[in-house]
Amino acid sequence: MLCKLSISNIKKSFKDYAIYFITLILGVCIFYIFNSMDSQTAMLTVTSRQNEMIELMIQLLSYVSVFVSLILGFLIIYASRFLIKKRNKEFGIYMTLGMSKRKISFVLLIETFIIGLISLVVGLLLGIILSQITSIFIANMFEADMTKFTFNFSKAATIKTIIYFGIIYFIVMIFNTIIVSKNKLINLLQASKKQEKIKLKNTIICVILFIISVLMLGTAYYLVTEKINELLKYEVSILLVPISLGVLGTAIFFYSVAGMILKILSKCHNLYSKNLNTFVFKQISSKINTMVISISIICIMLFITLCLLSSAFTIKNFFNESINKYAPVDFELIGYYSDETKSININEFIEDDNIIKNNTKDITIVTDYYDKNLNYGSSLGEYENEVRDRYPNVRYDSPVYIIGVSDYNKLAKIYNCDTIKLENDEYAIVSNYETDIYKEVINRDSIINIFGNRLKPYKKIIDGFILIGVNPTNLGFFVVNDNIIENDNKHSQILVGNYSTNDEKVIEDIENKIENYKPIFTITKDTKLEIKEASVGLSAIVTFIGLYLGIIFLISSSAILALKELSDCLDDKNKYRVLRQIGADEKDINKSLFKQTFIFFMLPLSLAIIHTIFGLKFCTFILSSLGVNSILDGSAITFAFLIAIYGIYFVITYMCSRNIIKERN
Amino acid sequence: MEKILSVKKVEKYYGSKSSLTKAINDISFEVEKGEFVAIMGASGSGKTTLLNMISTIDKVTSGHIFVDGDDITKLKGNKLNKFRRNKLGFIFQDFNLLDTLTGYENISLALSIQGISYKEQNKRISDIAEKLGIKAILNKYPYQMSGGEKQRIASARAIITNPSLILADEPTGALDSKSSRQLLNSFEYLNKELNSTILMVTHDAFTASYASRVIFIKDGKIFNEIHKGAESRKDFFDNIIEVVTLLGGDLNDAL
Repeated sequence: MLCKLSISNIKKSFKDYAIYFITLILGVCIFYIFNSMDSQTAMLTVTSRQNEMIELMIQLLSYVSVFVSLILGFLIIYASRFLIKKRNKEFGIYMTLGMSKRKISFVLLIETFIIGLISLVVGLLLGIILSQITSIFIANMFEADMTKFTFNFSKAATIKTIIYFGIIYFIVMIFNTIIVSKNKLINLLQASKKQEKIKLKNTIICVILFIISVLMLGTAYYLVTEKINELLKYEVSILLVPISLGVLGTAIFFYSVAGMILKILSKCHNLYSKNLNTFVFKQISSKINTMVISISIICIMLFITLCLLSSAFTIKNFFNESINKYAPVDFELIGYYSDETKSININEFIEDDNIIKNNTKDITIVTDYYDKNLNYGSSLGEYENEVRDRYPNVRYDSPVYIIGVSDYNKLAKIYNCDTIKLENDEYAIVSNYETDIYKEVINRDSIINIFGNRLKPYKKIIDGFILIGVNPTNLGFFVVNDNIIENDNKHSQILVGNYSTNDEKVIEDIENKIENYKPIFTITKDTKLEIKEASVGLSAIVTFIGLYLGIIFLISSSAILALKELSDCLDDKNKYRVLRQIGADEKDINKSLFKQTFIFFMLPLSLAIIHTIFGLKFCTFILSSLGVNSILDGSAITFAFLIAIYGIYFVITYMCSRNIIKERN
Repeated sequence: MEKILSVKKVEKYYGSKSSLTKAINDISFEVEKGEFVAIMGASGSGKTTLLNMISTIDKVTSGHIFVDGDDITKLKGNKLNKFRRNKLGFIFQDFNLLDTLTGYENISLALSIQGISYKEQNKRISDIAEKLGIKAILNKYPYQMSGGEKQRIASARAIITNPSLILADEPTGALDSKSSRQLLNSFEYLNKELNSTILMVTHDAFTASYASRVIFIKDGKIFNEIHKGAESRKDFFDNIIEVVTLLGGDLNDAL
């Protein structure tokens, strides 16, 4: 009997449940997709290095899943509270008919169970279908070949999803029972008649608080952008200052913004008293005032999403582009001189093996040197003391290396960089790291001492590098004329070259030989393929975690806004009836509803976007150590994502609420 | 005299063929400009259905209703809204004020919808507020007002657009006797001084005694109709009670 009641309840209110259902299904679906990576990647032909990366990614995603399930748990509890509130009268009627609270809880329990079951099944099915498509995407990310398309299904992920969501639904059931048992019959029956108390706020206090919030946010923005260098002198925990300023500022902003703007608008008499505008503004302000905390959380979640996704996409794009630029040769071997090994012939690696010898070209060998009196500090010349004051945490005693100009030009040719010519009393700095320090050194024409020669700087910094890598992190190599160099101070011998074959088997063979080459001297080895695989793997991990969290945050924020808007709409049905009675046109009523929904969705997003503008500056600063200059590429894709998910929720919400307020004769 | 409202052979059926309920069964009457008409009847007699059809909230099954010469049973969509906007003012038992708006804004919204400028709105509202004695509560929100105050704000909203006809559905239903009397005095003022035409539905004989004419409805038909004429309100009240007694049991309960 009670089961029948539950089922008919669900059928009846299916429309009202739509947003709730969609959110649950999406939650389950995404949870499954990101937890079934193991089966999605199983069919990829990958190297062992890529495999390690994939395993790392799967592990990280499973940690993130715990966090995600927490967020989804809160969201679902929040959503079910809305739905219960809506049904107060129904429960009241059950109680007057003599149904005990325990039985009502039981009805709810069954409903939660059925909804949970349906959403779980549909979500899983959708997840399994979509994971077939995402696996193609993953193969693309790892630049791996998908040899054959096979249907993938992850039993482990399915079980995990069921367990996690089972727990969430179980907690929701407990919450529902508590809510029902705490309700009084009179409140239940009169819930719909209860008049809304408008939270009146003192306008002057609102204005003051608004100014304070703007100041707080401004300070936080200023700290993470203009003052970032000074800020990072201290411990990382100093970042808590701008973060807490930002969070608090956001909350105070939403606490005061409605009162503040309403005050201003009510002075613009013509706008305020035009058509239904009075109604629209008042509705929104009361809506915002009743959910300051939620709307602040939504704003911050949107902000995190935007920054996270932008950074993730930027990193991905950046790696793809920069590898070709900063690793222009296929392999690089560096042998280091030491007290034991005074002589190195790294060329023997090529010469001693016919396969290697016949399948490589452009072999270039250069040597770099050190001067024990020259370190990063002293290389700055007279500028050193100033820099030391500004950046006390840099290691100024780390050595800098010196290369002869003829050797440099040999490398420059193969790297497709410009060759240089130096005067006898000149030195040049080769660097591609984004910093103005060496620029300033050159501006000051500061004389430094290399191998006992007083040298003045070449007219500009040479944008280039000696060692291949994934990003421009060459702080500075010093180039001097060959005759200055003291041969006793050899640091290392560097060999670079390219493959002359396209045969993948041969290349793989040589790669293995490079990997296993163990001469008597210390050696480091890099190949373009290896760099590529590592960085592709890294960018894939960052992108997936960014996507996972980003989508969950987006869904949560949109769902909360949508549910609030819909439940308000149900409460406000009578208001729209009144509007019709005093003669408002249907078109104007819909317009007012659209404006309300739009502003309600846009407000947290707007502040989040402003946060993001400054947040991204901070992200760019952090990412600049990788060599990323612009985060704009990533932002474009992110906004596309945002508009898709947020937009869908917005449209559904508007459609549903229009349906709710429609009068049926 | 100019006819504001004429109801002609209106019928309203509910339900299907097998179980037909005649909520309104062939009712015809007319209201002239400046009249204050009360419609009385027991619960279920069809008085609210009748009012809903006049206010175009509900549709007639057959018959016609003319307001200012226009057949409103033929109106559709935005023409309906336009009709309500320009010709009708509503007052309800549960006030139906928008609780997010102040008293002033509740009244001004009706004018905003008509596209009346802010200046003109301001002028009209302070004018009506003076007359109805609601100046002090204009800046209050509904939850800060008493029932009587709310209903006077609702009356001001109904009258502010100078409608041809004011429709009141049990306007004193949720008020205590003192507030009821105050509100009815306001109605009298609107009717006598501002020459508003009021059609009021009530089951309360005291409320009805403020009207100039009372139409009694029983089981969807007009049962009787009495005019106040030159009588005092006390005598008119006694007359109403007489008819109510004639009407039978149900309505007595409501007294």
